[in-house]
Amino acid sequence: MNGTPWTGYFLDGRAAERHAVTVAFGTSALEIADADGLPLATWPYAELRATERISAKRIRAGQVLRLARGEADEARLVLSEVLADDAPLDGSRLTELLTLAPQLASRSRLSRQAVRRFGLATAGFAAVAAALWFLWPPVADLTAGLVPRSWEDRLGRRLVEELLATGKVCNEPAGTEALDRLAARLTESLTPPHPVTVTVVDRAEINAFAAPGGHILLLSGLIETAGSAEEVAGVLAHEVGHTVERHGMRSMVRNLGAGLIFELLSGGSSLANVAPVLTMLAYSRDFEAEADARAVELLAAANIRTDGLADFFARLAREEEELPQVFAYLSTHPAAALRQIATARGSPAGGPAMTPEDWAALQGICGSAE
Amino acid sequence: MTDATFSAAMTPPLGADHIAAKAPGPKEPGRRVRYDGRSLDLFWIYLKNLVLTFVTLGIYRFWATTRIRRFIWSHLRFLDEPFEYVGTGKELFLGFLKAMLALIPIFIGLGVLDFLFFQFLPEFYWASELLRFTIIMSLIYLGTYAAQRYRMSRTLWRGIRFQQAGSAWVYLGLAMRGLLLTVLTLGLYTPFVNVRLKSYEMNNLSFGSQPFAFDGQGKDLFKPFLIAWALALPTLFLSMFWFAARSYRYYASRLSVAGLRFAMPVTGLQVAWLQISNLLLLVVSLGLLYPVVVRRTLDFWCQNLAVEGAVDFKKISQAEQGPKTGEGLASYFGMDAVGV
Ligand SMILES: [Zn+2]
Repeated sequence: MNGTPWTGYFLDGRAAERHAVTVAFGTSALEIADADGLPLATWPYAELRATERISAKRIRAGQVLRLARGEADEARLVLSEVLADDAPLDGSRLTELLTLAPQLASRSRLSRQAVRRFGLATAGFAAVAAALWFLWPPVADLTAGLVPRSWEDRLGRRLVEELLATGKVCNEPAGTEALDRLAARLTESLTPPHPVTVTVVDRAEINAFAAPGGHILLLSGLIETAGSAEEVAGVLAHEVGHTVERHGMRSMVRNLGAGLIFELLSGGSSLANVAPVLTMLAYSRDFEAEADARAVELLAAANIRTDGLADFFARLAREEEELPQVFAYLSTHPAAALRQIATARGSPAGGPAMTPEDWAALQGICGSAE
Repeated sequence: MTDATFSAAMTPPLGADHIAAKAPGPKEPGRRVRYDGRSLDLFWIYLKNLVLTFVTLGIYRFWATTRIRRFIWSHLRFLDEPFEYVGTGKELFLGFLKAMLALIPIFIGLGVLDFLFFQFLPEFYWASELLRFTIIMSLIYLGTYAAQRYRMSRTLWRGIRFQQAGSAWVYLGLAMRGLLLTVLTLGLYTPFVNVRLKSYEMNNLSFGSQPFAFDGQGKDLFKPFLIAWALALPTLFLSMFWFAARSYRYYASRLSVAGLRFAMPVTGLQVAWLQISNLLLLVVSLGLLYPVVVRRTLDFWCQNLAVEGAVDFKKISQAEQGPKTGEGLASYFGMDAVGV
């Protein structure tokens, strides 16, 4: 053992004053005594902990060593002159201490146990997330099914009012009649009946919406740029498909819940702006495919040729680069190119969607021929 | 105060410490508070944290925060004694889980309410939005105070804990009242609410058995605020940096603990430069220069903090135990100021 005692100061965790101490290596514990040699504390080697990790190789002259006893005790022992300027590491007091309390030099905090724990926690977290991912849609659909039809209808009307605030309603009588006839033909085959209300808004974008409760909006840009009445019929049938499957209500509940779950699990800092009701009308890809399939059924039942929707998407994909307003439809109805393939089974068998007179009237529904 | 007494105070004696008043220059070896962490060391911790947080799908982030705090605290020294952070990642994680359980019903309730208002009382939809805003603001204030309480209870200096007493609900009450009055007075109430909140926070803070005392009054900052407010538009809001610096100087001068008094002689230009340059560093480096930003920030505040007075450390005894789990709400809303 070294002749000179190891000095430093002791903070007893009860008061803030420093006690000058000398430290001696006992048989099973560090013996801490004050300047007069009176014992202050005895710290077993097995319980020693360094508040900052020490690496014997990187220890520098003049560095101090801060020790604690266990995890909870606030007392601290600060040893100075861990290594004198010229002293070799071998045989020093530090190496002696590290032999008696090897845990002080333990290499890394990330022990095998920690790796296993974090691994398990990560797997558990992933499992919970996956379970929610698969379980949430059916749960959301059940919840949506509990909403009374009258609420759904009222909600849809409110949403349409919000959207209508952005443009004037087109209601030339002849065009409106033509459109209503088309809508009636498309919904005729449905049991139980699903009444829809179709409104045309005077806006240049190519887009259509199906709000809850069968409230369908067509933007006039879609009608004006359509190549045929069958294209409009295809889009309308698609939106009716959304209505029949109650996609509006279902995706509202789904999206609301999914957003909440994501933010809660990720500790997201955007909880403060949980999306309000209005942004909930973007449909998922499977809803789009469902609506497409429904559209083909409805058109066939109404004896209208079923390739209109496919034509519409084909034209949209072609014009995507030229017409900026096309983006509006693509952003709410993604992957147009893929869906063109999905609806390719539409066939030219069947009759026209409406008479040439009705089609002309529909195209003039906004009154502005110029 | 002569340099002789100043240097005598440099190595604190073991009993009472007398500290000379002097705003130390940047290279002053006897700076009262100093940060001596190497940016490179912090950078490795930061990098390791990023990787581990990524592979654990974010779960590691509580332990990551803890590691960063341990590093920074242990390299921050006052009177040649480092601070020590004794919080754990587990505590932060449990706090987060608790907050999550509390938030689920609140947000489901808000969602349903939003829906009902939209459905049945569309003309009062604004009330639903106001309620949502109020609840979220309240959660932010509650979370801030609770986080402060946790952080203080896990901060050790000379083996003694800090303690943030007081009630988060009272704090919330003061904050919401202040927010309302600020809105009603077009912002003119700002200095009053700022000082009121600072006062509540500081007068409930203690180091062990020694309470901090803060005797600031909002009216003292009213004139500077009026000037900064009037000049806000012509100076593109840069006058607010000047007001911020003025506030820091004022807060420091009104604070005392255990016979110590403080001064923080910073100027608006310095504060503006620090914050703008830090922001630029973070943006340009995509966050990788975070350790440098920490170093610059802490260096700046340490260099500018002057402390004066005498402390009898024998009379400072241990504080009561703090909360068992940490932060919770504050893990949401991203309210960590320096990111630590
Ligand atoms: Zn669709």
